[in-house]
Amino acid sequence: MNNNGNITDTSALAELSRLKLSEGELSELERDMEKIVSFAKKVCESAESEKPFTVKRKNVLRADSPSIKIKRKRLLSAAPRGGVLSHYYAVPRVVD
Amino acid sequence: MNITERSLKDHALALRRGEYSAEELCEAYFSKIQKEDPVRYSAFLDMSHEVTVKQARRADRLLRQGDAPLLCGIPYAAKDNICTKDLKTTAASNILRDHIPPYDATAIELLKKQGAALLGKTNMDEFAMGSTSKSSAFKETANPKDKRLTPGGSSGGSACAVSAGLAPFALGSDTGGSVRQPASFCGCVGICPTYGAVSRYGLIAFASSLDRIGVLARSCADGALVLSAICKRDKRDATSLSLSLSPDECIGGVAGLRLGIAEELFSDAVSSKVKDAVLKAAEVYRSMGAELVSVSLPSLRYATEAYYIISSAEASSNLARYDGIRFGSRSGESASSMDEFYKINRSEGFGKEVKRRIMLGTFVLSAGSYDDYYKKALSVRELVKADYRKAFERCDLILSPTSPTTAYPLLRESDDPTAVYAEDLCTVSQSLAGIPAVSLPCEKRSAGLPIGMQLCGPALSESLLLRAGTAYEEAIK
Repeated sequence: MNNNGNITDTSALAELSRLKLSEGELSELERDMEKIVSFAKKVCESAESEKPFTVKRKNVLRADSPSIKIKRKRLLSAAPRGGVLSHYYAVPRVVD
Repeated sequence: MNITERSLKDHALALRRGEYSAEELCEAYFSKIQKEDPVRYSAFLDMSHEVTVKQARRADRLLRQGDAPLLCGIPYAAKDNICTKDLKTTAASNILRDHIPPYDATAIELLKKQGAALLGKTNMDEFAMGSTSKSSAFKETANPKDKRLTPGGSSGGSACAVSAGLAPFALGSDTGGSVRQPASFCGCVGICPTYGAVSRYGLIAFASSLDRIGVLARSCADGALVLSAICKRDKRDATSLSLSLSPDECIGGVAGLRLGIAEELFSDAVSSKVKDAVLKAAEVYRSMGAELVSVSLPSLRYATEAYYIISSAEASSNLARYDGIRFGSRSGESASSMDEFYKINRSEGFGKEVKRRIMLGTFVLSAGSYDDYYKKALSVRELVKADYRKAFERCDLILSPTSPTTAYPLLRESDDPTAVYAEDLCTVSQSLAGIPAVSLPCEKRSAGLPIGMQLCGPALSESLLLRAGTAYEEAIK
């Protein structure tokens, strides 16, 4: 997809989105994305939105200290099937 | 009157009088759901008789002790993107199909404290992305007024459950109209409170700067009771704020109320039937002593597009956490690299609409498009806020349709996803501005399909909004 909103490479966009799509899905999404991007492009027509976005905001910060206590066992119980080994998350072996 | 047709206040009084127990009340709703939901509505996903009865018995103990909170013993349903540690929370997605969260959302926690009993989780569009509830990975919910029609979305299951009398009230979530539009299609009340008024802790994130937990109820008075119980400042949500709402403040007249009418919310895209019904409602307000004021919201012509850019950008970031490692489902065991492992899990777990939104979000945030799309959408958002600020100098509340049409056929297919997006035109601007809005039926009992009207007001104006809603309901009784 280039800056004008034309799709040039939907598969690159899928790659960035961490999605693995079949050929069929890719061509369907390419069609959809053409329409969605030209729909979204209307914001560029807004003359007022040419003004730079300059709203000043104040972030609400909190101390970086643990406040929510959930037991490890309870957290691990939400892991996918086959996703726990002893008391760790398990992932497929990807190195020799 | 059938027990399941009573108002929330009637239930609260009956429970205190000992007319029936919380357990009997929950059983009545539970058996209605079991009998009617599978064959007529498909509003519910996960349910547990054991969980509901346990909560009801606890409520009965509290009621016997006296001085029980208002919602004690009242059953309710919750949209499936609101975390419940007793029931599955899937966001209607395959990627979370067996997910049981290790904690309750704050709103659920507050309702538990009140003694309310959870009946079950309701169907929705996957990750709340949609306005038909059809993008659920599990089932299609029907409109209780006509099963061939959509209940709307994304909180379609919650709206259907309340409208069909399967629950006295339900929680939903509203990112761009997902509580208000299904309320309009199903003929119930949908309240979308000020952004931050109800904690987002435990609400599965779609677009964090827009997401709000809302209430679906049979009337504005019922909705006020629920909202007053769940709006509480929560330090676990950095955007949480304090809204003090007393249900008593939500009762009263509207004499002297300045009601704004913005022509941008009555555009040509709105059907004449809907326009006529809402303008008739405006006349009802005038007859009650309200003053109708014309206001202008020019930036609304870009609001829908800005909403889709911002919400998709945030979704692409929020949904990056679904990788099949710490929670959810996984299917990429055969992957040769971690990257491929993530990709397989995500591709098999997410449905078509979710993939579209992630792709759009990734696109508008990418280096070549950020300034042209995302930053412009943020500027439009500020213009929308400024327009509302200016409008509320001239009026107290603004009246509009909730949706440009009534409910449409479930079978309607469109080759163009943007045709469905464009239908959000009446609800997305209040989402961008973070202001509260309520949808309520224009007619009490209509021979045709329900038509919803929307009232919106400045931030934290919930009491006034619900007072105006209740006054209208009383006027058309």
